[in-house]
Amino acid sequence: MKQFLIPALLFSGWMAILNTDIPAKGNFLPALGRFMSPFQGIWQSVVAEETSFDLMGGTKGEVRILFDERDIPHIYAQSLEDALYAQGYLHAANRLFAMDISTRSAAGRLSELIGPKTLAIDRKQRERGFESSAIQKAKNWENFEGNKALIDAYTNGVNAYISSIDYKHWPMEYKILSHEPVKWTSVHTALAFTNLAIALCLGEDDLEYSTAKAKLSPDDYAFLFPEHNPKESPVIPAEKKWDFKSNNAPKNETDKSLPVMQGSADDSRQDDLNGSNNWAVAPSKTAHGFAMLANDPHLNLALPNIWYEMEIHTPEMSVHGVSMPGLPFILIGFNDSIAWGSTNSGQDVLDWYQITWQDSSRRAYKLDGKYVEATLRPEEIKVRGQQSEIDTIRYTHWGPVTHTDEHKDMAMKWIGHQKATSNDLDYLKKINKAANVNDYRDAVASFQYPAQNKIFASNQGDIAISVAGVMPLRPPGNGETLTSGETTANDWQGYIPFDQAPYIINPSRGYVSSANQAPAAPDYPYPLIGARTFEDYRGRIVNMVLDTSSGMTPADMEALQQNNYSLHAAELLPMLLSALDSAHCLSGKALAMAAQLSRWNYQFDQDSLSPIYFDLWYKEFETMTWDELDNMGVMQPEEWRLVEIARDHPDNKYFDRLTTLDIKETMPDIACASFTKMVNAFIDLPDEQEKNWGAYKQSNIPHLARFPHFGVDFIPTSGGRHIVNAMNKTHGPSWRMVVELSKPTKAWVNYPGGQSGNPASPHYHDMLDHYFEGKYYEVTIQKDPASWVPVRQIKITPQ
Amino acid sequence: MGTCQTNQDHSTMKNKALISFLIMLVGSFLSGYFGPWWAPAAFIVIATALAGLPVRQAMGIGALASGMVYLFMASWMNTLDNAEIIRKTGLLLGGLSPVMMIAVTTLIGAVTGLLSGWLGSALGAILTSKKD
Repeated sequence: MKQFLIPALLFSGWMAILNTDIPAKGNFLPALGRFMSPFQGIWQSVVAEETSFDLMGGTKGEVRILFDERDIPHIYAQSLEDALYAQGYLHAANRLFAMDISTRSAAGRLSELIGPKTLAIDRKQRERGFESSAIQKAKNWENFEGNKALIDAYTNGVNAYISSIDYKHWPMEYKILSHEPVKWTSVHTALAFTNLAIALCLGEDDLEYSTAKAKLSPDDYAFLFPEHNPKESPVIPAEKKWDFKSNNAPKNETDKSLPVMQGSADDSRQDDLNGSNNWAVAPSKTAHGFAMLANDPHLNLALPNIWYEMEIHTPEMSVHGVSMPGLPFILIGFNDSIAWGSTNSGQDVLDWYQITWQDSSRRAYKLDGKYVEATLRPEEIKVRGQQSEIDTIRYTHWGPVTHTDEHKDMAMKWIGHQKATSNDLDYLKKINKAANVNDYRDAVASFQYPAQNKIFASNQGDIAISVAGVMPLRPPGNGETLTSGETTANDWQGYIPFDQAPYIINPSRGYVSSANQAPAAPDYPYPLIGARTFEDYRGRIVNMVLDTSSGMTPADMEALQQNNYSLHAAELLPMLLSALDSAHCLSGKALAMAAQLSRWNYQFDQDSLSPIYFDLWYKEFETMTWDELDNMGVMQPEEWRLVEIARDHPDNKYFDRLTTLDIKETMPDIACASFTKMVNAFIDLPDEQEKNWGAYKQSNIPHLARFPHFGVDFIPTSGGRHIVNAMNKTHGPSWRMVVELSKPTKAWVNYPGGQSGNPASPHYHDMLDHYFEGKYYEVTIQKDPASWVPVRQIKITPQ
Repeated sequence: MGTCQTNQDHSTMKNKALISFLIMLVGSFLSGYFGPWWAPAAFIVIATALAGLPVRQAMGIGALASGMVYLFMASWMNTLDNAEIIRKTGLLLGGLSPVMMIAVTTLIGAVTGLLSGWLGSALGAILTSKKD
């Protein structure tokens, strides 16, 4: 027996070791038995199976999916439900891990997969109630006619793929994380919507503005933070007349006793790079006499790409564009008759309300003179490798109350929660099959959030832009700063009526455009809050180019998408250089660098040195100017305001440095001092970074889950912040599309990545080179499947 | 006669070992290909038990068969790895080169085969003694 027991124990122990995930430095080494199995594990992930096959699926009719040479699927289905089933299947087949991780991120469930490392993120997401509102949203979709069938079809398609794969065929990320893919539900789709909203409409600076208001004199506050940029070129041009008045309630008394931030303000503007460009030109401005439309949404770049390009044909529509895995339909694209696109509007649709608790139990809060019980909801955060954490989230009249970060005891009122019961699918359903400007406006009327500038062009020659999405009406003065949660008088008073929201059709200037700037001029009757999230330069450059353009071709539209001109540099640099000249403060290498800057054309080209000098110089100049504010923990004013102050108030007190008590500096002194620091900063740069702008910027595209080596480590790129070609370090145009509304519609597209989510696939990032060379792929809608030869195909037949 | 008998026994044992090895080689491959990750181990346990191989021989044959299958498969997959998935995964796992990844895979296969052979032999011994 002993002869049996010893090998039995050793064998069992060894197999148990091979079958167990091993904790290692905060991560988990996957169970090696299956992971290293050459028949099942990571070895089987080296080959991507992209072949033709037939499958039995949950469709009502036969669906054919034909793939072109870029692996773009063209779905030919007999009904919308069948098309969405196929879309769900394809999304899962190519982006399953991305869909999972993004919905986990919104729900606050990353720690189930990753472990304690992501616990802080999960806590934050849970206390903001994103999953709760997604559950509510998914439940509510069923109340709208036809939605259940569409969502079910998409969900079934995703799950058909998940059911079809065993461990050997799991996406390699799941193998590395040693976690099984979970079944998709309508709540996941709702979370995908929520995730988009989190990325695009969670921006606000309430606490920062409160702090600035509390710590600065009213005059200083008004001087540093004016409401409008006088040079702004808003989305809706001045020719639009507003023939209505706002119906806002009278201004509330400002609560003077609101708390301020402790310590320094976290000035996150540098990271706030989500934005986009779009424009459409009327036939009168184009060479071929057709309207044209361009759109390039700027997002965090990742591999696999956030988008999945596809074409969908049903009896009621033929549409091509990009979809977002996790969501049904095409989000940005074109059909036989129209093209549409989006940029983020940057509206502030999140307000923080300070809660006054009755006592330390934090169960009842003051509202309208009495104490009201908060709804307590326990949340279990499962953490891989350790015990679950239980948190109790308090829901108030305003929304969930946070308690783990800088927003302590503040209730969050957010459009995503307020409109959780809206019919999100309606807009997508309508815009995918819209045929004219009336259909477009009807679709936009259904759009809820995140607020976006929805642009449109048609083959009837119409162009239009609408600031779409519900925008809250607040008591004047509210919304920008932290608000008292003690009175419902501070509550939102409804939303701007759709027909009074900013929009314009066929403006006389012959184009419509947006680049995240202010939606409308100051004469727009309703207050539009979002000052620091409105972009101040890209929109002006686009409009400057379009104002002076005629006979435009698709190539001109492509060139504008890749325009590297910096208006910010053009407006500030001559002033700074002139200040250097007048101060005679440079010598040697510094003088040569200034001379080079004076010859610069303000183009942020990858092979140029001047953008490095300007970038470093501006950072030093900004830091030295705002040293008083940094010291007080007050956020910095916007860049355009610093340009104005440097131009109009060179002797302003803010140019006087805190560290030099006996000297009173002016703008030229700061220009000199910051230039000297810039020279030193440049000399201190690592050798590989000081070659040119492309090398300095170190653009790269990381893997979605930040697995090292599965992204692209370094790509020299032009462009940058405040530039139409908004390519930053890991952030930039995630999809470029130019559409000519001819008959048939023609388009030129590209995105930084590839169709497959499998790193082993040749389509993982096969479009990257083309993309960074500024090239596009020509696309026309292929209505007839027999008219072209696919590279491969999938046939789905009903079970 | 005695010497002849011994040589014959020796030759029979050698043949049995060789056949067992070949069976385990093919069986490990097929069970690995069609079954779960632990299928080759289960196959070796059963095969050595039924073959009634002595402990050392069972351990050696199990280790060799399983190790060789793992080595062959890992090397073969490595040649197909145009996207360098194995190199990148090795870096993720603490800096293992593809050769090291193959070595670790082979080692896992060999140790699994060794222990499976040992267990199979012990099981075989029990089965034989019960028969007797």
